Formats: sequence, structure tokens, C-alpha cells
Amino acid sequence: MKKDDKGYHILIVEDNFGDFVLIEEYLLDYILNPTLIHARSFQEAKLILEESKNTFDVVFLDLSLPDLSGEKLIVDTLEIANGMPVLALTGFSDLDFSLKSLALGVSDYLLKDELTPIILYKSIIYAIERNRHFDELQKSEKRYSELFHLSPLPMWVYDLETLAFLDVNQAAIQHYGFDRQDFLSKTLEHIRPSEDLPLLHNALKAYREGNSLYPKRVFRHVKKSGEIIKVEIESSAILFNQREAKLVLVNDITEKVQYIETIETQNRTFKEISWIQSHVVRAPLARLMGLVSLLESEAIESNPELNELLAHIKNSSIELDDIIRDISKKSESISPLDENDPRIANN
Amino acid sequence: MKMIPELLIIDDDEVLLMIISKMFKKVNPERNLNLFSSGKSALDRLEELKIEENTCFLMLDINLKDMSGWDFLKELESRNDQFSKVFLITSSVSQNNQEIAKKYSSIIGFFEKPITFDVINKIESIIESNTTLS
Repeated sequence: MKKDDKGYHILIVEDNFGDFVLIEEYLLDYILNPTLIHARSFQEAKLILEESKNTFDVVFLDLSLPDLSGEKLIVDTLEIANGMPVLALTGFSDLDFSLKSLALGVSDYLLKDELTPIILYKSIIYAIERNRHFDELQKSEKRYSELFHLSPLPMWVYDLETLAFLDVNQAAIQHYGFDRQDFLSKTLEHIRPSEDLPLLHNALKAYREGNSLYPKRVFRHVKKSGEIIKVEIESSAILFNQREAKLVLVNDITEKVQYIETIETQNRTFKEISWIQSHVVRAPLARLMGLVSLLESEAIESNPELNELLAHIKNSSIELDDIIRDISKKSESISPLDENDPRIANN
Repeated sequence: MKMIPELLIIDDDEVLLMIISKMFKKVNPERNLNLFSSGKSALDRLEELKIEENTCFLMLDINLKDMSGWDFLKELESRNDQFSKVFLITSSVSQNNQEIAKKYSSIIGFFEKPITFDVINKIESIIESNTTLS
């Protein structure tokens, strides 16, 4: 049989020398060259662990040491083990306590009388692998948590049933002006203008009946200062501490909306001006041109000098007409913004 | 004797009515003109003409004071008037009007102001060809 040749570092906390030797023998059956450190008491183990800086792959812990035992021993050891897997060893079969110690964070609970080399080896390998997965999971959770808390856009999680804020990020705190405690004592209703509450309740009612929660994604919110802002919302369902919740990302578009509205108003004025050009200004001009046409027919026979003057009036009016046509054509190419665009909705 | 159809000129601009009538006097003094400065008075006249079942022609300005030219045309359609042939006149240079005008079968011509002798001659020849046909 080929032995495991990884360089395991193992701490064995065991006051009974006979048991230590037995464990050592068993380990050597499957592991080629382990580094085994032996501590005979909790205090000794504590010193070793504190100096080791996480260099052990696994810690064996006898649950009855001369200076400490039982639950307290487990808790204290886990604390200084700082994430290293701890395998409990005991001479007594106590199912309740074994379950309890697992709940406290022990990776395995081994009965000395039932130990065999393979059981011991398996327990080490499993504990190390489990620990690695757990570690990755924690890192990934941390990454996601940072994504939430460090997001430059306001984000929060709210309870779908009570509408209470379950978590808020720093950007939300800054943007809305409520401090963290303040925020977490509020519900969605507190950040909506009171006249918009029916909208909120209708939306939630529709959601509970199976419709999409945000058919329209633009809402009005109220800051602590009372200022009303327009926001665009992105949200997704999550389970937060066993509660059905929504993760919300907020984008304040107040300025953008104001900007668009200003442009829209200007556009309307602009169109009005061009309508005046096209219809109102042109009417007297057209009359003038009609008169010139009429006068031309009268003047032809009589007076050549008058004819020349008429030609000038005619040319001037044609020139003016060309200018008006030009303005009118340009203004017709201005198309209005899409009125269904939620960003320019009126509330 | 050939029946000369009536030509109703409907425009709230009194000066323009004067210009148009002077122009017709030069182009065709025989033309039977009837001038109206409001849509309402012209519609009243058309009511009478309809009873006589005579084809008549209209020069209709789109922007009247008492109603728009479109309202005028809708009123004609609701009366089921088959005898009125319309030249639509506008002082606007917008393309929209020409598009809307296509929806009305009573419109047989579309002219932008100014009304010059060119326009009067064109209208005159269209009236001529329409009258001989009927």
C-alpha cells in the first residue's frame, strides 16, 4: 500500500502517553512522514497553538485533560485553533455530548476504543477537505458582503412581509441621511411619500398574487431631510436570515429627470416658435406676395419704373419666404422624446 | 346654356379675398365667385347648393377663425356632400397637412399660399376640366 506522502502537521493534545503512542502508530500506517507535536495539557497546547500561527493541518484533542475538560475545553481550544479543524477524542461513548461538541464546532468526535488506522486517517482527510470548502464559502460570502457594503450605489435588503429594512449599505445611509440604526428600524413605507403609499401597497398585493413586483421601476423616495427624489430600482429575491426578502439597488435619477424635463420644455417652446413661423408669420407674407402678383399684372403696361420696384419687393418677399421654409423644415426634424419612457414619467 | 358652377372662397383674411377676386376678374370674369370670411357662413351656403344638386368648387383655407379647414371637411363628410370639390389652401409650409389632405376624397387640389396668378390659372383649368367631365 502506498502511503500518503503529504507533509501533514498534526498536533496531538493527549495527557495519556499510551494513547498518544497508539495514535502515532495508527497515523504512521497511512501517512508516510507526518510532523507530530505532542501536548500534554491544555496550557501546553495553548502555547504551541499561539506560536504556531495556523501551521497545523489538524488538531487531536483529548476531552479530559488535567487542567481542562469537556465543553469549556472544546470552546477554548476552538478559539485559539482559529479555524484549524479540531478532532475530539474521548474514552466515553456519550451520544448527546458528541452531538453537542459537533455543534460547538468540532470537526469529528472519535471514540478511542473504536479507533482504527483507517478511521483515523479518514477523519483527518475529511476534516481538512471540509475545512477547505468552508473556508472558500466564507471567502465567497465575504466577497458578496463587500459587494453589498462597498457598492457606490445605495443598496438594501427588505423583508417582503413586514417591509422592514434588514440590511442597508453605506451608500444608502449617506444618500438617504438616516444612520444605520435609524434605517433598520424603518420600513419601505417610511421612504415613500405618503401619497405614493397606495402604489406601494398595490404593487405588493399584485406581487403576492403572482405578478412581477416592479412593472414600473421608477419611484419617488423621501430622504431624511424631506427631499423627494426619483429613483430607478433594480431588485431580486433573496433569502435573508431565513426571511423571504428583496435585494434592492437604487439609482437616483432626480437630476437626470429634471434635465430631460427641461429639454422637453425647451423643445415644446421651440416647436411653438416654429409653428408661429410656419403659420402666423407666413400668413401676412403670403398676403404680401399675393398683392405683388396682382400689382405686377396691373403695372406691366403702365410704368416700367414701378415695375422695377415691384420686382424688388417680390424678390425680398421670396427671400423671406425661403428663410421661413428653412426654419420650418429644421424644426420638423425635431422628434419628441418617447413619452412612455419611465424616466420622464410625471411621478 | 352651360351652367357655370359656383366657386366659394373661404378665408378669414379679407385682403386675400379681395386679391383672389381681383385675380379671377382678370383670368375669367365669368367665374361665379362667392366670398366667405367664416366657415359657418360657407357651410350655410353649401346647404342650399346641395338641395339644388349642383357641383360647386371651394377654395378653403385650413386656418379659419371659427373652425379649422379639417373641421369644415368633416362637416361636409357628415352631410354626405357629393357635390363640393375642394381646393385646400394653406399658409403653412408644413408637410403634415398635405398628408392629411389625402384622406379626403373631396379634395381635388392642394395649394400653398401665396395665391399668385399661377395658382389661379391652375385652379381655373382644373375647374374647367371637371366641369366638362360632368
